Parts: sequence; structure tokens; C-alpha cells
Amino acid sequence: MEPKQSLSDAERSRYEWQLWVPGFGASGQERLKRASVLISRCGGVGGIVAYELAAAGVGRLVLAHAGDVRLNDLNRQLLMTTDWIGKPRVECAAARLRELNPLVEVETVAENIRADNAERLVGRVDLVIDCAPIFSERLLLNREAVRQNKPLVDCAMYDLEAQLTTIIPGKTPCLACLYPEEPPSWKREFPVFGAVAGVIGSLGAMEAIKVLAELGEPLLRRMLLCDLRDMSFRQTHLQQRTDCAVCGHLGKEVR
Amino acid sequence: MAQVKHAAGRAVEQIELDRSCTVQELVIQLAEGGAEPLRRLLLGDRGALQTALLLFVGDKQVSAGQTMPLHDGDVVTVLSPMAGG
Repeated sequence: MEPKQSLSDAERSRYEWQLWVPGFGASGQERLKRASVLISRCGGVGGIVAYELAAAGVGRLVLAHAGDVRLNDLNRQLLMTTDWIGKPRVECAAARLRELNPLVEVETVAENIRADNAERLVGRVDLVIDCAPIFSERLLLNREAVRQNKPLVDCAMYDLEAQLTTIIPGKTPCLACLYPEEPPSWKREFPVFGAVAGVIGSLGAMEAIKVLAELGEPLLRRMLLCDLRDMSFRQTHLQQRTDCAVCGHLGKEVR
Repeated sequence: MAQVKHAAGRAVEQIELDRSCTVQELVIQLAEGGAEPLRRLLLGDRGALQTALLLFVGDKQVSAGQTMPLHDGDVVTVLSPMAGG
């Protein structure tokens, strides 16, 4: 039985417009309040994810991102500000989130996902969101999320395109089913507009809210492909790999 | 897909096949007949398909080990790996 938690007047007022959403209501809001989410890098995509989840009232956000704010971050990393150039990204992001919603607990980790911190960081949350710009971090986070049986929302972008899928270990293909090896062609720096990050970050946040609040139908076994050059959005159906080195041992219910 | 489109120099191509083939065979054929950037993107050093390409026939993914013969009118999509965040 779920613990009884009532929302305060301030919370009811802050979240009033989303409390009106059919199928969400106070019970959905309480689920978000009790939830914790790890966001792997809070740059272009992850910054938007974090902002939306803070606004929505997810109880605890763990931001993992190394490095300092740079001038060329600012076309897309909307939690970063010009006066923070040269200072830690993750602290700048946390300050913005606390300004937006002081009711949300924000934990900062000035590290990217690595082999020596993935287990600890994933272990601290209910759900992880993968927004890292390199496959080594994404595949590491995926491996740990599968090992700990945590849902993972994977958001990615390039140029004017973006893609999104939600991974539930044992029920959907995992990221290693799609990319069994680190792709040699991917480069950490890539062409993109901040508006593309805004689109896929918002969609990724919506997926997290749906999973945490048990609302709607998350993108399970499906990948959303967005091409903003011609504004085409399409869904594709993903395949399991029975020989997947990460999740192949789990029984899948893939259709 | 943007990387594939850029390397191929086009977004869409209609192809007539002399004989039936699988989606993987088609992509190898396109890579071998294409410009060097496309070949490098789609094929590994030994001429086999890159393992991280996502291939779709219609809206259904075809995984690397899956053999799927193509049929008249099939639409094949080739996605290069994307990890921008």
C-alpha cells in the first residue's frame, strides 16, 4: 500500500493546471513528489528535461554533469547563463531549477557517468534519463539501469533531428540491443540548434512523467523519430536482440 | 538519418533490384556504389555493415542478425547512430 501523503496548499496551487489533467490528479502529483530522477548531463537536452521535471514537481533531481559553462554552450544549454561562464555547469543548472521550484530537491554531481560512479548514481533514483553526447556514457548508463532494473528514457539529437525511446528492462529492447558496440562514426561535437534540444528534452520529460505517474502510454518498444527540417514525426517498432550482452538474459515481452 | 542523407547527397532514392535481396544486402550494395563518405558511414573495415546502424522496413526495425527479404514497394530507412545531448 502506498504511503499516504497529502499535497500542501502551496503545492496544490503551484501544480493546479496539471492537477486538472485527466488520469493524473493528486495521486499522480504525489507519485511525482515521491519520485527521484537522475539526469545524465544537463546540457542541451538534459537541461530542458531537468527544467520540465522541476516545474512538474518531481521530488528529487540528481544532475550529473562535469565541466564549466562555456560560451559555445549557450545556444542550446538553456539552464546556463552568460554570467556563469567559467563556473561549474551543474551548479548553474541547479541554481536555475531552485529559482523555478524551491520545493524540488536538487542534488548536483560535477561528474559525467563513469564506470566508477554509475552504480552509485543509478542506485539513488527511481528513473534515469540519458542525455549524454557520447555513446560510451550512454551505454554505461544503460548497462547499469538494466542491472538495477530501473526505467531509462533515452533522448538524442543531431542536426535538426531527434529520437526518443523509453526502456523498461526485461520488457523492451535496451540501448545495447540497438547499439551493441560503441559506434565509431559518432563525434562528441555535432551540428544542432537549441530548439531541437527543446523539442526532444520536453518529449523526454513527458515520458519520465508518464512512467513515474503511470499516465498514458510511454514509448515502449517504439522509437519516435523527429525530423524538424520537414516537421515529420514517425514511430518505429524496435526489435529485441536475443543475443544482447546487456539484457539478453532477461525475458522480454517484446511484441 | 541526417548523417546518412548528407553522406549520400540525397534524402530519398528509388531503387529497382535485378533480383530479390535482404535489407542488409541492399544497404551494402548502396554503400559500395556510393561516395566514400557514405561507404565509411555504413561499412566497417572489412566491408560488413556497421553494427550500430538502425535499419527499418516500413516502420519495423530489422536487427542485424535478422534476414528479411525485401518486397516490391518496401520502404527502407537507414539511421546512423545518434547520441547528441
